[in-house]
Amino acid sequence: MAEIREMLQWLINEVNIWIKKGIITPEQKEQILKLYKVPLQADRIGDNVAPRRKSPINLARVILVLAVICIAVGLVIFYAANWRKMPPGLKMAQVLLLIFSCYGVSWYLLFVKKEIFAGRLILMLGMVTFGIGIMLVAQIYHISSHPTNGLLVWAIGTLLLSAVMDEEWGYYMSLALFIIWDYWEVVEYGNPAYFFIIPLLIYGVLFYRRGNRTGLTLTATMILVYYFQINIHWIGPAVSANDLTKKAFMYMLYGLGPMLMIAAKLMRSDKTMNYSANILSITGWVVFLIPLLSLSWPFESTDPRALLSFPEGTRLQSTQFALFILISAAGCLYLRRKGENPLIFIPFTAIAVILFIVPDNTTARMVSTHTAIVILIASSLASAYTIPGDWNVEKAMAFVFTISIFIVKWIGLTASAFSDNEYMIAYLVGFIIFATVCFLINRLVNDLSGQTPYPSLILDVITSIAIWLTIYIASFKIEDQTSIFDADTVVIVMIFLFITLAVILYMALLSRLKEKRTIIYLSMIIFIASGLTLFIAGEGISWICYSVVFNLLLLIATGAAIYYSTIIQSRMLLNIAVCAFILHIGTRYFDLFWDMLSGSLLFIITGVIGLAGGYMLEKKRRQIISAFDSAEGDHE
Amino acid sequence: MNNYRKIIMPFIVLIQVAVLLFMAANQEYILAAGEKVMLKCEPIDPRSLFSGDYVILNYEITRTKLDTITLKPGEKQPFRVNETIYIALEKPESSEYWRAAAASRDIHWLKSMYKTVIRGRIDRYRNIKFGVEDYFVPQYEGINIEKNLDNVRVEVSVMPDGNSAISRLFLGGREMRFY
Repeated sequence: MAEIREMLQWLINEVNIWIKKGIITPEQKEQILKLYKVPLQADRIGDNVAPRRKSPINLARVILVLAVICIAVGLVIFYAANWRKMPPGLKMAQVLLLIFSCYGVSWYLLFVKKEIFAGRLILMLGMVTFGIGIMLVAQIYHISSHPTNGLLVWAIGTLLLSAVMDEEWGYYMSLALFIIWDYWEVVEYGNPAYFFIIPLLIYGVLFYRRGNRTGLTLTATMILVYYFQINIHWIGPAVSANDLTKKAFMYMLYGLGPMLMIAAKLMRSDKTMNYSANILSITGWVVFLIPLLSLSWPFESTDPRALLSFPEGTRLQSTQFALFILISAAGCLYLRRKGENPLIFIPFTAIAVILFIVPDNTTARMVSTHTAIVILIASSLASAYTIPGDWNVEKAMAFVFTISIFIVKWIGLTASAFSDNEYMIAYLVGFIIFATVCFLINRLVNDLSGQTPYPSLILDVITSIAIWLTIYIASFKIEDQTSIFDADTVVIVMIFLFITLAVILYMALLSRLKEKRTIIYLSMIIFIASGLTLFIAGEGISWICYSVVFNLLLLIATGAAIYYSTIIQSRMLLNIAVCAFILHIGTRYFDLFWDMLSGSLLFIITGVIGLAGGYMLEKKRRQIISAFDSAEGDHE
Repeated sequence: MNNYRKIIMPFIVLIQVAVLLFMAANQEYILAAGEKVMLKCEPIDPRSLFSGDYVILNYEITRTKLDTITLKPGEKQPFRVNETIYIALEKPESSEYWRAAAASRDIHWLKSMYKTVIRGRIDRYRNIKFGVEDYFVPQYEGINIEKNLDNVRVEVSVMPDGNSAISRLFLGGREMRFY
């Protein structure tokens, strides 16, 4: 009804424009509107055509709802506990009487009295009594073979009646019963609950027909849950799956991700499926991210066979993967036919195929997944912000995808630095190089986005803070380092891979940027200095060497940040840079004097220096801020 | 409301009622026609969200060790969780309680040797559940039974196809009736 009203409103608006433009006469307008039975005086469809009533909060309705809830709760409690001393036959008779009464009253209200609201409420009560009936029959006869069966019968009965009556509340109630049944089967009994998909598909159709977006979203979410519960069951301990099967499951997610993203994009053209499309899209990004992050660490695979040959034990997962890729490719072609640009999805699909083909030895997996990470970060950010159209979800998810990878890598490499002390410099510098690549990609996308607003500041801030903190960690006393050239081949390959990527990105950026190069030069100084330190680190090299390099880098970075804050007139950056400076200087001060002075003397001198230094710093900071203010005043 | 709903709604309601009647009739049939076997049990007293108080009955045969009874030759594959299992019951002359004598996936093989076979399912703790483990009692009555756990026995009605239902519960030799 709402859609028809919208269409008629559109028609009225259009014919008014046609009259203004002289395409049709007012008489012809009347004829057109008569054809669609629109009142002739109406300029807004809501004025004369069945005004859409907003349902206000009605006290009588509220009381009715509360009354039904009270009766329902009372019935449950009464019949569950207080009907002792009745023979089974009498109990059964009461149960049936209860059900017939509820449904009978509902039928009378709905079809004879036309009291729709009250009738629907009593109908719901009838559905509840059906469930109560099942539980009570089980109680009377001490039936306990499989408690979920009763719930399933209740859910099916409720769905059946709801579908016949097109009762929305009933859909939700029966869906809730099916969800509880599914959860119970999976968690308590370890069953895969294959049957669950049938009601879900039915709900999909029913909610779609009603144009119920919330219901469709709930259904879409449960379909995804169902898919994962089935697949996890297939690789779970119940079926004794081996490591290769579990690996195949992870690779299968690479195929599932782009398929869900593309499906979501296609669904989004239908307004009814808008919300559910978002759920699919977010899930697509997340399921691609999970294997990408999990498999990007240097562990030895127990079975390095590539999945391309569909080895025994992986056929179910590999076949699904192949199917997902075919559907994704078809989806991209279909999008293209519809005039949409599928560029954002193509790298995901292509990389999924490549990762599936590559043999699972450590070096090959590390190189392929990290190359994939860099390509996907660059392509998803660039595509989402440069392709015209509705890409809001993709824009947000491209950032979530990038930031998630960045933070996981940051935590992982920093933790490795502390757990594997002899390669501490290697891990820390490795992360600095990775962060530099991310930073450069962000800058490049910012340049490519041109006039389109691109929130480059988010990644600028995150990468800068991460790089600064990593240099800060590296600026402490780090001894007994082993040369990077003594590390596993995979480490050296990865370092060279990221250095190459950084160099390519620097060249691309410097060739494109004609101004605002300062920040690029600063990152280049950090990149080159830390990179050189990485290669010279090893036996015979004093910790002082690393410390000097990283402390100088900290000073340069902090100084540059203070300078840059004056260029871009950012108080926030200035305050952060001053804090960083104090933290750095304070740390080094304690490093130097902790062992040289007694505790009391150290703190007294520190206090005096702190007072003097703080006064001077604050004075300087205020001077700069007042300079900002006066500059702003001049602009105004 | 469409007219067809006016007709179909009562029809669906009748189906729902038929389901309940079938559940009841099936249990009544098992109780009337099944062979009665007495099982020894060890109850505890939880509470059901939907159905009030009930007593969980753990029978001796619930924890049957499959390596201590006769198994069908060639049936080497261990029973999986949720798999159906048939247990042949026999009553020793010296005891009033029935006990497990043999187990198999094949009821016909067991039936060729034993008259009474009960159907069960392997649960996640590797116990065997027969669908006669819950005995519903009026509110607060479960505690009274719990105080006398040592001497509880249950008469179970077993059909030729292995289906079973609780017929009577005895506490200290006295049948417990709540109506």
